[in-house]
Amino acid sequence: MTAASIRAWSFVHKWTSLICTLFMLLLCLTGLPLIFHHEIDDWFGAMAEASPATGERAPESRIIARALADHPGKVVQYVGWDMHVPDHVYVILNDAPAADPNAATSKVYDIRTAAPLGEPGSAFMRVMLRLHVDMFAGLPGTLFLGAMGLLLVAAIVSGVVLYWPFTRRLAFGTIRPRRSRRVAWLDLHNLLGIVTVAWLVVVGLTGSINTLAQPLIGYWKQTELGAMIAAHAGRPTPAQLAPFDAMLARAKAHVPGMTPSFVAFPGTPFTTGHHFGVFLRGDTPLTARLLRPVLLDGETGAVADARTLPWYLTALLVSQPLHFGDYGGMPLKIIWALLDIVSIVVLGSGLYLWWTRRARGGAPAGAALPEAARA
Amino acid sequence: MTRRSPGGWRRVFGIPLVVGIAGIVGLVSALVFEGPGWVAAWIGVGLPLALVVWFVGRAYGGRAASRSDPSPR
Repeated sequence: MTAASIRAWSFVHKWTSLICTLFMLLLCLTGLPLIFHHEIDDWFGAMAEASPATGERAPESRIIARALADHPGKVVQYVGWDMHVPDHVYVILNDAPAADPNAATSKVYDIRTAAPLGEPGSAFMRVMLRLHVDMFAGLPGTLFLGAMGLLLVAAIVSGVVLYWPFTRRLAFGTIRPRRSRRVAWLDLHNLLGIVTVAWLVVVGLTGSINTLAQPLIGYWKQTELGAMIAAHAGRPTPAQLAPFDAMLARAKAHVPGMTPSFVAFPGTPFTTGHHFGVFLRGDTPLTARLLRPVLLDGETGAVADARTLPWYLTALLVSQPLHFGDYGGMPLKIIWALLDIVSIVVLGSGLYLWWTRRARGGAPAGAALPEAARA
Repeated sequence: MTRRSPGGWRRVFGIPLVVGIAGIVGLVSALVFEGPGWVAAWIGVGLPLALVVWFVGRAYGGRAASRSDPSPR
């Protein structure tokens, strides 16, 4: 590598990192508790214990009736089942089917007794999630963080390129604590950075993909769902909703071997104004992410249409576990958290290295090279 | 890449490449297979942490015992 190309890559590394570092620190810090959100919600949340397992199940219609009675004036938007917590049925209510998602109320009901168990989550985790997802700035905030994720990937790529001139004369993993503090931090930055490249690229890219969820779902509604709606153009909003349990049974029968993940009520963002959208999932770790939507007539409960999810929504759903780290048991969550902490050290040491060089009078990046490469 | 060390890239990028591949294999295996896939993920994704502990421990833990820098190969 010539001195000129090292300078060019240093320029890229410096600026892509500097722009995204503060936001990445925010994401790493808020992401840390989010890895354990199930456990933290259990500690802080006020959720009642579910009834003992008996193999029985309350009909969903009873749970829906109970939820509507508990929340006068509200309508049900979604009913969902958490694959990790088989005792719970989630009901999401709002002022209107298409009302602002941030105004929605979530309630958990006992799958056997239909008794209310409480609100999922805790206030602490909700604040962490909003900071992590959109910094309380809505879709623009989300997309902005997605762009920061792409800058992070650019910073990683330029960092890998620079790893060569900075370490080519050193044995792998060399840390020189007896040299200046700056050299020790540079060695640490290089080691911690290079071993976490794959993980951080995956988490950064999948995080950026996740930020596109809302636009992608919007696009899906306009195209695929739009085509399904066109076949039922002019159908009014159902005056009387079809019986829920029979409707759900028809959806299950239509896609054998899959279980319902959630049901979107007519008029909500995931379906048409006239149809129930039942989203079914498989039962292996991978197929559980691949949802299959079935549309059923809101008035008659008859199957109207069923399609496979387009590739971009499949990519979105598969990228979610890869970002969350919640698909390999508690050990994987702990590894995720430790790698998150290592990333914080990489970000912090990068900031420190930039700051100390700047304080020294802003010597060009290449000037650090002889110092760095001398073993 | 450089005239100084033919094959030098392998010395510099060899271990990072293995670590990266092990991590990707681990991430995907837990997604595809439960059980053994999980264990593969713990090993593959956890490998960077083991390396960090090893090299940081060697540099700072050995400080009292030895006064000499770890020398390059």
